[in-house]
Amino acid sequence: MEPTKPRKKRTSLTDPRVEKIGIATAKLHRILKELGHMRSLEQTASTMPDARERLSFIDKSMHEASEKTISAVEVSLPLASRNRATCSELSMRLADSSFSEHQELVMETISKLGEIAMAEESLRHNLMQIMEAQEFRDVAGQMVNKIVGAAVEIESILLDILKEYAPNTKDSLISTEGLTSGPVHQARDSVNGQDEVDDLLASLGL
Amino acid sequence: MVSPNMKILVVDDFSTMRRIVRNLLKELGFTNVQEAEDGADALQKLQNDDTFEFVVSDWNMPNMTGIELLRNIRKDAKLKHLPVLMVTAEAKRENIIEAAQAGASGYVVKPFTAATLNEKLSKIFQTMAK
Repeated sequence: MEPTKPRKKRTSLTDPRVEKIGIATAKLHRILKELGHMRSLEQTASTMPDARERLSFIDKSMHEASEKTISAVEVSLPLASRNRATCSELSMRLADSSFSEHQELVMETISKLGEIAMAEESLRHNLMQIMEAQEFRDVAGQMVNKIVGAAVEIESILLDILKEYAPNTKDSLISTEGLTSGPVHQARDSVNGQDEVDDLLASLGL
Repeated sequence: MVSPNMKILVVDDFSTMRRIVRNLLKELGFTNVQEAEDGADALQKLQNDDTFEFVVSDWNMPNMTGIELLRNIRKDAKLKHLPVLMVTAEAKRENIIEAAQAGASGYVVKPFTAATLNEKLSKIFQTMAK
C-alpha cells in the first residue's frame, strides 16, 4: 500500500529519534484503523493500571521492609555497644580483684568476657552493614518510579489513540503522582564507583 | 578539631535514605542532625536557622533539586560559606563536573559506606581548617 502523505510541513524536528517515533505513531494509527484492532488495544491499555499497581506495591513493600530493618538495627546497635562496654568493665574489675578461691573460674570468666566483647563488636559492624545495604531502596525505588512513569505514558498514548478511533472506550484513571525520574542506569558517560568520582574531582581541583 | 555537636542538615526525598545517612553520621559521632525532604524545604530551614554548619544533600529531588539547592546556597550571602557534600546516585561525569563548578565541597556516589562518608567529611574539614 501507499505510504500516507505527510500532512503539513511542521517545524523541523532536530532529533531524528523524535521524527522516527512520530512516523511510527502515524503508522500505528493507520494500521489500527485498517485492522480494527481497537479491542486488543483497549485490553492492552487496561492492563497498564494493573501493572502500575503491582509496581507500586513492590515499591511500598521495599519501603516497609527497609524501614522495619533500619528500626531493628537502630534498637540493636546501642545494645551491642552497651554489652561490649559491660563486658570490658566487668573483666577489668575481675582482673583487678584478688580472689583466694575459684582463681581458674575467674580467669576463664575474664577470657570469655573478652570473647563476648569481641563478638559484640563484629555484631555491631554487621548491623551497620545491614543498615548500609538498605540503600538499595533509594535507587531501586527511583527505577520502579521510572517504570511506573513509563507505564503511565504508554497508557495515555494508547488511550489517546483509542479516544480518536474508538470514542466509546472508557477513560481509565491515569494517576501521575509520585513520578520522579530516576538515575540513568549505567549510562555511557557514567563513572564506576567512588574512586572514579574522586579522580574526576581531583582533576577538577576539588 | 570538628565538634561532634556540629549541626548538620541531611536533605533527601527518600525517608529511608535520610535515616541511613543520619545513622551513619551518628556512627561517626555526629548526633546533631536535622532533616529536609527536598531542596526547597532545606533552603527554607537554612534561611530560618543560621546555626547549621554542614549540608549533606541528594541530587534528584522534587520541588528543588540538590544542584539547585547548592546554587541557591552559594548565591546567598548568609549561607554561601556552608560546606555542601553531595551524596547521590547520579554517577554521570557531567553531573560531577556540574556539582564541582557549582561549588560542591565533596561528592559521594551511592551506594556508599560509613567509611566513605567519614573520609569525605574529614577531607572537607581539613580544607575548612586551612
